[in-house]
Amino acid sequence: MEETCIEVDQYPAKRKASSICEKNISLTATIGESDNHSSSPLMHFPKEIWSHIFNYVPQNDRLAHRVVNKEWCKNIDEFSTVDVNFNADYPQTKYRKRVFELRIRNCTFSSLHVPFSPDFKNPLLVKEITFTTHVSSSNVLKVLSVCSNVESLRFLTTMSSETSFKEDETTSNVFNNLKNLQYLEIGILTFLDRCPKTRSKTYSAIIGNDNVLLPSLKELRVAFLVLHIEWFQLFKFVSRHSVTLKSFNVMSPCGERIVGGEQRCKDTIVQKGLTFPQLDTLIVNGVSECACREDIWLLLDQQKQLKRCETDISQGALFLKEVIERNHKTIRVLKLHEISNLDSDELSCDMFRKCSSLQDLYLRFEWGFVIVVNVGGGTSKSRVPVLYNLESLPESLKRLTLCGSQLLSDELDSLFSKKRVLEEVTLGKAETLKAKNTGLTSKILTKMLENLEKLRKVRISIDMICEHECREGNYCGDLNGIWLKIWELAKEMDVVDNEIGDYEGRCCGPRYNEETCMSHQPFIDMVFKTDPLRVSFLNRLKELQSQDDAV
Amino acid sequence: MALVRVISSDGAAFLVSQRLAKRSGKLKTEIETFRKSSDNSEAQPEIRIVTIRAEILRLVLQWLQQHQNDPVLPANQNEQDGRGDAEMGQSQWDRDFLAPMDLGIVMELILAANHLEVKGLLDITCKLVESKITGRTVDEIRTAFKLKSDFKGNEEEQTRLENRWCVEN
Repeated sequence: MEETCIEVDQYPAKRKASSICEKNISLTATIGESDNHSSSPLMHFPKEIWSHIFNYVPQNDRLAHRVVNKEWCKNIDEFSTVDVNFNADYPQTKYRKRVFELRIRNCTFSSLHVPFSPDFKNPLLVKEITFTTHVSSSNVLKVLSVCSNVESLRFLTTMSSETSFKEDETTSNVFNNLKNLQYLEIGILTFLDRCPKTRSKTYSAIIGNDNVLLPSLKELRVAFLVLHIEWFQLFKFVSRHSVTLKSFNVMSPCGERIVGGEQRCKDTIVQKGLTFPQLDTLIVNGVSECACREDIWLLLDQQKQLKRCETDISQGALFLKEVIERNHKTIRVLKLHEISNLDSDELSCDMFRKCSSLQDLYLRFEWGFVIVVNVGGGTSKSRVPVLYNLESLPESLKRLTLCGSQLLSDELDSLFSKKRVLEEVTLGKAETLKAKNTGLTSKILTKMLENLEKLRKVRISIDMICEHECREGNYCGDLNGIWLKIWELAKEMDVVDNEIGDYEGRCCGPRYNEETCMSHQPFIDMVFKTDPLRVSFLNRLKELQSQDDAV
Repeated sequence: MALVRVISSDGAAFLVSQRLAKRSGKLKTEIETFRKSSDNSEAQPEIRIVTIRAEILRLVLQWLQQHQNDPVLPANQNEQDGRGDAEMGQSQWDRDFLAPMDLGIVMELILAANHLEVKGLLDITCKLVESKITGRTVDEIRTAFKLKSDFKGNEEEQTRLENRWCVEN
């Protein structure tokens, strides 16, 4: 029903309202009042409005506009927050004091090795702190002592410039006072192999300190090679925070095969009945060769509300199926590397059917366990699992990556024959023998471009292309037939993705069809920056196919 | 239909349904206060807004009427969380509504939306002012908002040097 809003009459200006009047008018000024400093009504805005507007203005603009006039500068300084990069070696040290008078929200410290007094005017406003190279432990503790409201804390140092924390009471007191700390990251930037003697002091003083307890900790990220003795410390730390922890992200926990006899975390989980009721993000990579993967299995085995799971733990299809079954209502990102030890020759995508929130699926099969499809009931020469039922992949998917597997053309055809919201598709390296009727054909590519209306990125390993349509012999790196024309068309229409990283990018497509490239698996990378570009490419592709069919 | 009489600072009266008026946090509080203090449950509340003139009040009510079926946004929503609300909530109607207004009217509307606690209107008007700030040079800001520099000597240069500590995240 439409609501009424009617202008009824004009009151004399001085007539008073009969029943109620506004009280306690909160405006700081009335529009139209003259002012000595400025004629702009903007300058009369109360704090909350300035904050509201500055909330939308990027920091670079806000900083540049500090010289508009003194009042504007004052408003920016008082009503907005800034991110500061504080390098103590910076020559303009005379402005240091002035900088700490700003309302700092995010501060990055580097080269802070000389005695320093953190004169923050608004220390409790600081929410994010990053310590990078050459910051002494005493300065870290001084900063954290005054900025006790910090919510995000990152240590990004090199082994040679690490803080030299002691695992003493002072350290634990300072950390235990960070009642609002939600995110903790420790990353050691080192390119050298670590040996047990070069344990991270930051890590030992925080993670390895049994007295440290952060009551609000939700996210933990350890981004460096953790030695196995540190893994046990890490697990103890994680166990202490199991009630609040939502995200656990650790890279390469061990990086080395653990031999028997070490302390294990298993007992902690099994005997103490440890649970992680809040945990929804588990990112653990580098464990496929490591005994600590059993700890991760145990951890995974009890989760029922994961939203994001990325791991390379080597496990069977049954385990995988159970994890998906338990978390199917919540899982949004599932990235499984080095899938191996499959329990049977078959791996059905049917297990993903109920994952109605799944947006990002990444499956990379371990080298040597890639899939060869056994077509027509013949006998396969080797034991190979088959990934099938691609059609049952959930319609919520936005990104799909299938690597290390060969796929039936019919399966791919059914996958791309219906409308989907997929934005990125990667069909990656198979590097194995191919059976007949496997891989992508140009017609399937057409269907992909036709039905995936939101498609922006396509990455196709050349050995994923249907053999009879593309290549002569088992020779990677050469395209011919219609796929060569497709590649030429992609270059002509400028849809070749030039922003692929160097790691795999140097073997992107046949444009680097040099001898050095032959040992790699080249890719066709296409990016459609706009939807009309996708449609134009599709139309040209159809023309190509008509010509090819006529021939 | 229960009505409320809302009177502007210059004496113009608007009859507004209470349901519509209650989409303003301020008017809702005033109506509830009136109900508690009044013996007659049928009496029509009358609220005088002494800081908002008729032209602006009319615009606020017009906006409320257009958005009467929108979900009410909490006034104390976290600033960081609120980022992007304005873009998400800005319809073609909103754009047409704001298009003919000069900056002076927009700024009055911001004050009115803030005072009457109409968060959606506050968001889109603040975003409009932001669009006059973001990406503009210092001189363009001074011209747009009729401001003059009052820095003396090397004060302006010193202020610029302070900025070098700060980085875009």
